[in-house]
Amino acid sequence: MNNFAIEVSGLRKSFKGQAALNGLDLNVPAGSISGFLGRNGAGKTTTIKILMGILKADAGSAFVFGLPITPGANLIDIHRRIGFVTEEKELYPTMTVEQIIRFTRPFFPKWRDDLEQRYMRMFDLPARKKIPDLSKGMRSKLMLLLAIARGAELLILDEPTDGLDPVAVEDVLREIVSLSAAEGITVFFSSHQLEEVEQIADRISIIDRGRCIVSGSLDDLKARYQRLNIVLREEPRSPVQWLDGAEYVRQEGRTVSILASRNVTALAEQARSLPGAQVEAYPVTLKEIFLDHVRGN
Amino acid sequence: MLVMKSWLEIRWRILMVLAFNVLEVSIPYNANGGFRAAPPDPGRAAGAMMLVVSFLWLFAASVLAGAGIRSQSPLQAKKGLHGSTYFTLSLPVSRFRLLAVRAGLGLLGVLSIVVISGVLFWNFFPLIRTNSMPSDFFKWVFTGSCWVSGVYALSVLLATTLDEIGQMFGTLIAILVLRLATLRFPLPSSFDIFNIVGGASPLVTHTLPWPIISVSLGLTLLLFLIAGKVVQTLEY
Repeated sequence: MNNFAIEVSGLRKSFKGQAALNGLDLNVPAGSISGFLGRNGAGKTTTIKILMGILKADAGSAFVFGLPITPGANLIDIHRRIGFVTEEKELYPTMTVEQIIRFTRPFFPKWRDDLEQRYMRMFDLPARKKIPDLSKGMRSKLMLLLAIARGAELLILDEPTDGLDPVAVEDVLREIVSLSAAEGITVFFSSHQLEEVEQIADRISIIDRGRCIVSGSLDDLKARYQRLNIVLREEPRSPVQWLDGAEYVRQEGRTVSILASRNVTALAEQARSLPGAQVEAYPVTLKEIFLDHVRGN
Repeated sequence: MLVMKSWLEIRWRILMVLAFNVLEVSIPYNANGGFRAAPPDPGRAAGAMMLVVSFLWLFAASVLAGAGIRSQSPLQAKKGLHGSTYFTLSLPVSRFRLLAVRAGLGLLGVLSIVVISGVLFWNFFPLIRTNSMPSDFFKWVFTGSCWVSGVYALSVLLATTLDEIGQMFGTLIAILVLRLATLRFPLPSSFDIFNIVGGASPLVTHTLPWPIISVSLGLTLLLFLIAGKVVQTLEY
């Protein structure tokens, strides 16, 4: 028995000859809060749809709770243990808030009435209101309620805070963290809001062009990566061959910016050896790691 | 709970089809003084009436069909949005069950409409029962139900891949094309399912056309099974 809630290996998926996933490898440890980052079209939603059994992979394997994602009993069992918030936040237009809760509850034997009541109050959801009459933010909150109250062991959240006001975003993020901490729920969520991800995630996976280009604990990544800003006396006549560990190098005139993932000291020494170079090392934010990787890729 | 969802989705449609039925009955009934005077050609008038009833059934079958998974409006579908489809697919329910519940409830709705419209036409238009016995009413409604089940199954199959407008018009067009094809290349009359609401109707023959009923029910089952296979393999 391993400790991964999600295990993906060599996943490939194409649409009309266009590769959406190109050999994706991804592991999400049980009990973690994992942020899944990538540009639009990087393959995030395709990955989530494959994990939910909505799409089928062309090649590779995907396991949730150690069970392969295949139609039939496995998938039903997996769905019983997952809370899912879709990117579109669309629910049945024929139902009211209380009707959709009443509809969803019987499918999940571990349904949490306490959480249902708590989020109804916290999100101030109008029980009698029809779903099409709810704002996008309200629909997001309702979807979160429906996902969390399932008593799920794994929450898969596609842009969960989309449409929420800043106060609601804070509330939702706080709840996600406290749920994960109190109940050991694994959270796998995609978001474009890097500050939110940095605020709550303990692990990060960055996907670009259908491949995972960075993965690991957020603390490790932030400890490992450093930025070296180098100002040279004059523009080098030929490009500098930087040592191993310089992940991405950007040069504008006499200024060089290096995102280093290892050998930082050696790289700094190499920079200092250049005539008249001034070198400064900075810690990096998740945003910098993300932007440098996806731009560099 | 899936029954509740399906019911909420189709209840207004059932009401709409019923209202359409009542209109279809009341307008010509009032215009013709309740058909108390016999028309010049009663046989032809009865045939035309049967055609009107069949069209009503066809309309009901195309309006009430659904596959229980796709639920986006055509406008959403055009924008590439998928409505509540993904929420439905995240439930711990097999796709086949989603289809079976939605299609089953829709079929019940269609069969209810067949019975109601049968009663309305039988009572308000004596022409349709010229030379018929009361038992022919039951035979007529039964054969009509078998025929409309086939049309409904085709509509369900189309609903697995098309949005609701495409599915409705697709059904009507497919039936029209099939009818034209069977007129151009006639099948043996005992296997032509359109005969069930035409020359082989119990209102004409006073017997149950078992070969066509069997073909119709066989086709219904086959189309439902194909629809089930399609939803299990489709990607959304």
